[in-house]
Amino acid sequence: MPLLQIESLNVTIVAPSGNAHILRDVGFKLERGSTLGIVGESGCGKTMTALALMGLLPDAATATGRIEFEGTDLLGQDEAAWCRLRGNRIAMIFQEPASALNPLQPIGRQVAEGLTLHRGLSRLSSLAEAERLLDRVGIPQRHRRLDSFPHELSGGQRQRVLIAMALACKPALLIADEPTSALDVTVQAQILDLLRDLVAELGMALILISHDLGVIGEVCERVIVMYAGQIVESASAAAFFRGRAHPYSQALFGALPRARGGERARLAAISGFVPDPRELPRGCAFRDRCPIGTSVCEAQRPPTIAVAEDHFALCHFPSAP
Amino acid sequence: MIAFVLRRVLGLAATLAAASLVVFVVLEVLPGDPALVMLGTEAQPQTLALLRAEMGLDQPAPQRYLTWVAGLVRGDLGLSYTYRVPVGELVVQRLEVTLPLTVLAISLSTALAIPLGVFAASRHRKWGDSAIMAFAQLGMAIPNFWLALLLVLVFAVQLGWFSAGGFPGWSESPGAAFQALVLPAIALALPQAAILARVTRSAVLDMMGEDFVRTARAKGLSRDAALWRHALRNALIPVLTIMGLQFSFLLAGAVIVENVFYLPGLGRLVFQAVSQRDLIVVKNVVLLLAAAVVTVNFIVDLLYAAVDPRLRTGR
Repeated sequence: MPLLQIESLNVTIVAPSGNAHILRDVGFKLERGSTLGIVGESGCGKTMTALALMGLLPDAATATGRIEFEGTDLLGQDEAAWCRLRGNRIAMIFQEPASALNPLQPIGRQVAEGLTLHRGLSRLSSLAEAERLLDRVGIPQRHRRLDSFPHELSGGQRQRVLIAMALACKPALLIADEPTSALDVTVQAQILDLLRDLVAELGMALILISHDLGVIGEVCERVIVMYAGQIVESASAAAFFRGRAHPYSQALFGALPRARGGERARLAAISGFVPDPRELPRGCAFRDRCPIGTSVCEAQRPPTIAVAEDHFALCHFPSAP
Repeated sequence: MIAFVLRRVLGLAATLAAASLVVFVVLEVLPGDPALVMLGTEAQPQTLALLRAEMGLDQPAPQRYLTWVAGLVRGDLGLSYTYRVPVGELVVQRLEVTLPLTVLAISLSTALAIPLGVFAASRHRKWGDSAIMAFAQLGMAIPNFWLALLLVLVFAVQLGWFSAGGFPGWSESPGAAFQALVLPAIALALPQAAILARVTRSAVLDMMGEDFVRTARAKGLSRDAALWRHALRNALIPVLTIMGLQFSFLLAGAVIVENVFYLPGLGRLVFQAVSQRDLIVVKNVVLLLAAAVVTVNFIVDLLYAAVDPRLRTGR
């Protein structure tokens, strides 16, 4: 049994201006200890997928479908069960380390909080464990480290604190939503290394969300590409970086800056706009921006086609990898 | 932290100096003879001359200002023209009423507003929230003098639980003196509590949308636990700001409410001094009120630093 299995997950935000279809028929599975990257541009549903997994969707959103985690369907459970799960079996780290920590509370207490909550540790032993976690994530040892406030740390250190916080209860699944986007490039690499090491060390599964294919390629075994709330391509990272089947994935790949061979090729921008989730087209959502779109794409929803073993694309005319 | 306090103390002193200058210029330097204002246009020339000498009006303005400030520093506020007693004594007497009244009103307002605001925020868009906000809307719309009259009608005249006005003095009977302050304090506190509850609610709701609250929830805290442990303290900054501002409104409200309840407080003293044109009292009490407002702002600044570690570094 996989650790996580999502089937036909749909998330809709109900609003007077029209229902926004944020996630459409999302489905994937994740084995214990494996790593999955979700890539796509802003607003494609990456973060919403993560929030659905955490049960932290906005109040106005309704989710249907099935999220099976460690054998239970999460969508059916009550709030108390979600609270027992969050930070305990599924943990998440967020994009902005600057604002993701409580500015008025020392970091020691913030890291220790989950331990007192889920492990029932006393204040002192949870702080001792927090100290050990801060060591592990590489916050430099110094006087009164547990009493430091977030504003006394650098951006990279804050992200390390958030990682320590997420790992405190040794979750089975860690979701990292753009964990390095707000950091300097050199710090990015350190944080990615740390994440990769910790995932291997603790045997956790990892869902890494990023708009950056380079980041995904460095860490993940499997890649999912999302567009307008749908999964448009999914493949092993090896297969994906060998060849992309969906025109959108190809365009994303073309927009990737590469320093290779001294040639200064222009970056290929993807023209056009993502469709409004309240007014999605009848056929393929990528039709208007697609270089190979036809009238079929406009009229009919694309099917999911297996272009190779374990390599799928949501497209009428996928390329053979 | 020491640098922070020192800077605020300097600011406080500068503000007070400026306030004293404004009060002096408005009351004594701008055209119009203060002695004539106090005595009226039909005063005897001899009386007028006497008062002018007593007030030192024969001296140049800068010297009078310095004499006044020097007196203030020594605690000598001069003699009230109408009461013929030292203004300092008068003020201390009146403070015995106004200070407990304001403290009672602000405690009442805070004790009521913050829990109600937090509760409303935790029941956001549910009927508990709507009910509290409806009451707050009502509380904001009611002027405090009208509320004071209403309270007198219901609790003093109809029910007879409290006296309708007057103040027996602390030495006579502390219990009765306290009781005499209850209705005025409620009249002062309720409109302020209404505003403060709304501010608390929206500050907490704002904080509930912050990233760190999402982090707290991702750790497994329930919405309410995240509110109490993480959002509330962060929401205190705007709440403290409003509380500091409300103190001035409270002092202004005290002028009116003390008159409705016949309380011999500072507000009533100002009111009477203005109507009797006792400029010596007006000048000193106005500066005293300004000093009170400035001091409260100073305390609010210190409280900010107590709440938020980022402000302690002095940057």
